[in-house]
Amino acid sequence: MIVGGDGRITLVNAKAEEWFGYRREELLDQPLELLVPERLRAQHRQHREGYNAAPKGRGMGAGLDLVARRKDGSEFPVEISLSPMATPDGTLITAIISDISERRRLERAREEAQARYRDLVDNLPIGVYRSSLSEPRRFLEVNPALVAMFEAESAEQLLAVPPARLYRDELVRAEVVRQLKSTGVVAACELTMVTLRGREFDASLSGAAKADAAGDQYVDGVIEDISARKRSEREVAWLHDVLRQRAAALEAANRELEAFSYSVSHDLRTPLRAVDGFSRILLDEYAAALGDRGRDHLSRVRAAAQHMAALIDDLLKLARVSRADIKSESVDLSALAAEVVVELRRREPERVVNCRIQPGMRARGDARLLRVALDNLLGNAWKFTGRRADAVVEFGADPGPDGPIYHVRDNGAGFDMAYADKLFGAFQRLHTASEFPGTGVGLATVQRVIHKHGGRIWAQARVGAGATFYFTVDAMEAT
Amino acid sequence: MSERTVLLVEDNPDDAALTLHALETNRIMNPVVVARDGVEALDYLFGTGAHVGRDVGDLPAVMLLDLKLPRIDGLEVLRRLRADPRTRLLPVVILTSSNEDEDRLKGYSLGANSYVRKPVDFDEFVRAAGQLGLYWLLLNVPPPAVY
Repeated sequence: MIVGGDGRITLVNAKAEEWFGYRREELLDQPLELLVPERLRAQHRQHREGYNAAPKGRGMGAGLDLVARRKDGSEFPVEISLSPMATPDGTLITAIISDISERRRLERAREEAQARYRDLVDNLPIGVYRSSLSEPRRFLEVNPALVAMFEAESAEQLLAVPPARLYRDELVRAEVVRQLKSTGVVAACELTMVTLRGREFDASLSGAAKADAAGDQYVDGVIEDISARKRSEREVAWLHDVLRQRAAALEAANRELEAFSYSVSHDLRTPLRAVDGFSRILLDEYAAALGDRGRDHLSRVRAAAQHMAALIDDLLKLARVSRADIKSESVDLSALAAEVVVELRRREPERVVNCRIQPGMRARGDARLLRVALDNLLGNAWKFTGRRADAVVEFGADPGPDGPIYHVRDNGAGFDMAYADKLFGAFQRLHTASEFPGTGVGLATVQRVIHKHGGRIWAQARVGAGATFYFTVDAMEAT
Repeated sequence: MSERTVLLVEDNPDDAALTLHALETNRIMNPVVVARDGVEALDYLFGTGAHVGRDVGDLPAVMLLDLKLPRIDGLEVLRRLRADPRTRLLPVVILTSSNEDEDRLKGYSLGANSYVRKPVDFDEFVRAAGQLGLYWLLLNVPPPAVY
């Protein structure tokens, strides 16, 4: 396009026709401002006149964002270079106009892409950096997460800090730099870093070394604050340690208990046998010399020795129940109870006891341990009905909310419910030895068995009106 | 009753005295040799130590063996007896305070013929001794001499 000194168009080419949407004859001799958006026309005229006063060549797009107007009023970005030409008719100015819409669009797309990446990096919860690899090392770029991680006031503050200051251990830093220089990569290196405020934290650092067009090496990488993870790792390790120590202590305690039980079983009974045995021999061979009182004393010595032997045996049973591994098998409780009753009748054939066992009671559990429980419960019922001519002992079950509730009921001496809390404690007795003999370990053993089966045991009783012991067995949740 | 020997392996002098008394009470007049630990028991059976020169073919009718013994314990005595062809078939009754499963299992596994728990009640002890004497010295037929 060629424009005269008066600003009127003197020549247009086909491309100009096409871009501006005018036919050639519509443009010729028209003021150039026709092709300028209306809002810029006055300004343009001034520019043009200023230019005409001192015309000189001007290169393409010399720093100006120029906008052109099409015939239909739409606008498009252009670049214009001007070259003045003196002619006899005055100065003519050749304007070479380029439509730069496409270039602008690409630029905008690139800027948008850059903005998106910038956003992404800025919003990442982990620290992202670029730093120079050659000395003196410094940060070139840092994202907000990294600024926050190192407790810097601003990105500028962090950028001004030599990265070396952020490592707690100089040797670790040197190793990171060495790796970057030799292999070009550091992957998830775990180390302790220090914030600008001097706080230490566990970090994971990764980086990859690259070289820019000028050959300067730099590192792109990420730093993650892994304090929380490290803390939970340490907690898990600590808990694991505690657990292992407890397991070992428990195992040691169990071994000790076993050794103790073994020793008790062998050694504690022997002196009692001597006490009882020699008392008996005295009673036999020196009965006359002893007299009634002497014989009575010796009988007490013997009874005490035998009672102590029974205590030892019961305690050993309790200990055995405690350390026994529990099995889970189908147990016929009715049959087990019948065996116990047979044994009780064999021991005291003179007793008349009406024993009623509900048939078909089965439970999952450890037959041996449940036998120990029934031995004690039925044995107690048998014992405490000893003063009744019409003794009745019942073993049955009723449905409960979590499976059957079993009961062992008797019409014997019963007990005062005020003392029910003492019932299951070892060595606790609610009757005097002269009323009913016993060691006070039986119900403690029963409770241990039931608890090992994940069950519960409780009692109902009245003095002189018998006692009922209830229990549940939940071998599925046995511990 | 025959004159065959009973070998009583018992370290506790009270228990040894009570056992002898219980046997006596039951009128069991067989000679009783008391060994006070495992070493003495093995010396007696194999003719070694204090028993050098003893005719090892003359085996006791029964050995009453305590488990907890000084030096060599009862289970080890039993293991060595069973490993030796001369004493492999010797009737052995474990006579002990313990009724630990572990002892019973090991005792029978090593070839004990019987396991009897010494009762504390001396009346029961006397009864047990009587039954043991009756059974092992009279009723039981011993293995043929193998040596």
